[in-house]
Amino acid sequence: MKPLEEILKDVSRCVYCGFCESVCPTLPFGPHRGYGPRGRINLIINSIKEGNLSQEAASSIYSCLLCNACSEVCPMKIDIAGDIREMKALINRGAFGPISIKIRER
Amino acid sequence: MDKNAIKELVSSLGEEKVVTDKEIVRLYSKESSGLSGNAIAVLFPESAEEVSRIASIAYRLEIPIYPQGSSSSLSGNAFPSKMGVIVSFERMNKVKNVSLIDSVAIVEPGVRIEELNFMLEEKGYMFPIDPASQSIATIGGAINNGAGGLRGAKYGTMKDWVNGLEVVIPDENGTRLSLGCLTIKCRHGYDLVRLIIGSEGTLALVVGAALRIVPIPERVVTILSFFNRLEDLLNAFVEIKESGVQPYIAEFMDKKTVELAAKGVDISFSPNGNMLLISIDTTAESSGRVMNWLVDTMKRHNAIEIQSALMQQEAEEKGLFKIRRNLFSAQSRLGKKEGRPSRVFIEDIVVPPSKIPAAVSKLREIGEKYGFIVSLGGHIGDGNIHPSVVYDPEDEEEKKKVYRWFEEVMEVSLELGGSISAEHGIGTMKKGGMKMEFSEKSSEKAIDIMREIKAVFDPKCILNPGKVFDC
Amino acid sequence: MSLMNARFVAELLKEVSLKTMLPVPVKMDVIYGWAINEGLPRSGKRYLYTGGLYQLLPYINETVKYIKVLEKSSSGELALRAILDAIKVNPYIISSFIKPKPSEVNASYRILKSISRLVSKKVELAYLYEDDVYSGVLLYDMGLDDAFYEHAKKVYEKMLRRKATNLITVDPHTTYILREVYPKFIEGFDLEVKSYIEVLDELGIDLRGKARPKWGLVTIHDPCYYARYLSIYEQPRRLLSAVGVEIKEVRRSKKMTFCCGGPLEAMSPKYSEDIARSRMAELSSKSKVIVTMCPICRANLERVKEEGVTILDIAELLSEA
Ligand SMILES: Cc1cc2nc3c(=O)[nH]c(=O)nc-3n(C[C@H](O)[C@H](O)[C@H](O)COP(=O)(O)OP(=O)(O)OC[C@H]3O[C@@H](n4cnc5c(N)ncnc54)[C@H](O)[C@@H]3O)c2cc1C
Ligand code: SF4
Ligand code: SF4
Repeated sequence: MKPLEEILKDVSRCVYCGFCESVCPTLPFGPHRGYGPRGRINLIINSIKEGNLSQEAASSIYSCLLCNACSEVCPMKIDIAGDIREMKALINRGAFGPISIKIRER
Repeated sequence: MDKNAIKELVSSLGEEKVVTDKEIVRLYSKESSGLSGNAIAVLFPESAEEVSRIASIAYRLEIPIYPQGSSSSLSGNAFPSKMGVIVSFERMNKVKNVSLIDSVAIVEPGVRIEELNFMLEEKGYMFPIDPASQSIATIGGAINNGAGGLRGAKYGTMKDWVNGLEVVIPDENGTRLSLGCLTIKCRHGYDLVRLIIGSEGTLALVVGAALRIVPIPERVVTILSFFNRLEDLLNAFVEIKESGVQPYIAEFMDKKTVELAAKGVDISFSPNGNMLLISIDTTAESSGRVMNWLVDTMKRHNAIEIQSALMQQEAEEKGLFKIRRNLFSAQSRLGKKEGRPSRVFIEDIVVPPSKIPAAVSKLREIGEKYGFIVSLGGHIGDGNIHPSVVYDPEDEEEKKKVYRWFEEVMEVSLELGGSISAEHGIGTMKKGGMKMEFSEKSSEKAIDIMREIKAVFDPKCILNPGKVFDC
Repeated sequence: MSLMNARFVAELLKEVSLKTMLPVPVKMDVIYGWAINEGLPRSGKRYLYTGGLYQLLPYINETVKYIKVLEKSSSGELALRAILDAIKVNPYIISSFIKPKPSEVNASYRILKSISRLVSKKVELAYLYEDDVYSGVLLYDMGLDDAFYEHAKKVYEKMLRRKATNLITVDPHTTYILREVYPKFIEGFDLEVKSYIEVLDELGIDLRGKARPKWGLVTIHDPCYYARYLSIYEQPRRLLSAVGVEIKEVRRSKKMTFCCGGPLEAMSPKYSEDIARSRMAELSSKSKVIVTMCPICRANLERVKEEGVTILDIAELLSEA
């Protein structure tokens, strides 16, 4: 639903503070930072800018619960869960080619 | 070299603890300062023993190691500035033991400060170092950055709260050492614990810490006041200090910064002017008396708006900390150009608290000279100021200007008898500043001594190389 | 480690939804079965819209279990692909494998009856029966926007045909999707959507007699979609207080509630369970009685329930008063 530029504009405001990581339910049980909001947001930035997405990155994004705890504490008020959902839609539409999603818990 | 190294690390740690996916590695190659580099892998040790194996392999293969907690550093301390492996301590995050009778908590380095405090709170205790980033700052990161916080004036910084450390040094065996004691009193030769605190991961890998803890004060009264003149604000603070009271929290923000930080904050009073936020720990019986005295003091020094709370919960309900907590958010947004990438640059100088008015007026002058909107806030209790600007990292002209601004800010601290870094450390960004400071103090030799110390701990210069100074 | 391709789940969901308008292939009476003897009128202005989440959840979880079994079988991905192809032809082909525990189905029916009776006391309530179709929320959450759009259009048409102006919803996900997302996808969407919790809070709750708090002290697990997306967190507390229930809050409550992990269940049950277990530990440290108000939270916490813990839907508690 959101145009690509709008997603990119929103996520690009991230200042990498990591505050969002302190409230994310998936991060503590995931294999790495990709499974948390700071990671997901920056994977989105990099993949939209560069047009490619690894399976590991796509899976990290996919594992989000959309619970939105992260946005509550984000000092930049980024619509984190909303942007992640849009990214799932982009992946589904094949924007990054056929990627299989393999969610890994730690 | 890379392939061999990865192979060896995987066979030593298991595939599951070695991440090489480029996009994921990239996430660990960046820190909050906005600086980023690249690395061949991120390693996730789960025990001191595994850290020791990593150190030994890296030593043998001469691969740089970049230790990392949450990478919330602001001076280039945590990012990989050369190719190497990142060692993330995020999985070593257990609180192993808490003893109230010994007033000590034994923790792994990946425990976040706030998490530790949630646990201690249930027992009526706390770990008092509370950087604004405490929700993510790890014990290992805070130790190595020598972090401080709002309660700095009363409780000092990390260096005052670590009794003992378990460390691993990069040699053939990845030797593990137990330094310091479980107790506060501890006099066995040179204090290597204090040497490692603030060493920014350049001397040893911290794999465990024995932290001092204290009871949460019975009551904390809070008063938030606004002043037209910064001098009045300072005089009010001086009077508190001269009355023999050491505030629990003493924060200030100048008028312009208050305007920025108050935007979008939901509070029932109208913040206007220079802000002073004071909390004092008391007993239940004395809280009323202390509060009356505080209100009276603020009034005598011409405060134009005063809000007070007799208890922590009341202060939260009234939103007395909201403006202060919004500082980083305001700092990150101010002066941001729509649609352009932006980076916040948060400075971290310290001057004797009595010099704060002089520092503020100089900092304002410099900001205007470069045409930056500068926010000025900090810990008046300990003299630590965080002037900050937002700039466009892709605009070369602006970057140069920021750099010159940054140098001049550091000069201000030295002119006023302070230091170029209070709590964020040197990293890559303040290497020049550190030289400037020691040469100002005619003590260049101090840096040579540091270099030699570094070589003893880390002869191959593989631990966080390129940070603090080059080796 | 579970390495199922999550896109398979998405694909399956899409196919089944397109064919049956439900996320799992069951007969429509599964959805309105609870209302058979409730005597709710078929038409009116205010409709109860369950969106089927309470009723479907036992079936959804069984489907996930079934897929897991297939995945672990010797033919693994091949078997999954074969099923997907078969479903494209006839989605009901897997129905006979999906047999949830009757107790779970009964529990969701019981909750819905409680809700409908509570609300009926205050407003004239009609029911959609066979038009009480599923909202498409899982399609939206998985980012299957095209399928969601197609689905939502059909749902809206049904509502228009029933001349509905107000919908009273029963779970946070359906409330959110109807109130916040439908208007963005469907031009001219014009229905007032309220959760029954909001309705009861506004109109007050009728107490049968003097409130006798049978459960004493409870703790609340706020669902993310009520608390954060819709700012509904004081309302349930006011209702519980009104019926004399005392609440002991966990640290992560209201706007800062902690997700139960439910939405990951279909993609990685173990992951979802780890999250649920950590939440269970936090909740049970405050009270052995946990109040939920979302079928997903309920099911996910139920799976990791500790000894001596009771999980109650808020509707069950309110209807006892
Ligand atoms: C918004 C914001 C506000 C902040 N406010 C404050 C503040 O009020 N006060 C303050 O002092 N700082 C502050 N900081 C800076 C920073 O958050 C702190 O220094 C924090 O303690 C760093 O913790 P970390 O876990 O992120 O460490 P990292 O950034 O990951 O690492 C810090 C340093 O320690 C090293 N290191 C990490 N773990 C280990 C280990 N186990 N062994 C050896 N070396 C290790 C790293 O190599 C690096 O040099 C702030 C930062 C941000 C973004
Ligand atoms: S919305 Fe996703 S990224 Fe944000 S806290 Fe929840 S699980 Fe984590
Ligand atoms: S809290 Fe917001 S700005 Fe900070 S890292 Fe997370 S997404 Fe980025």
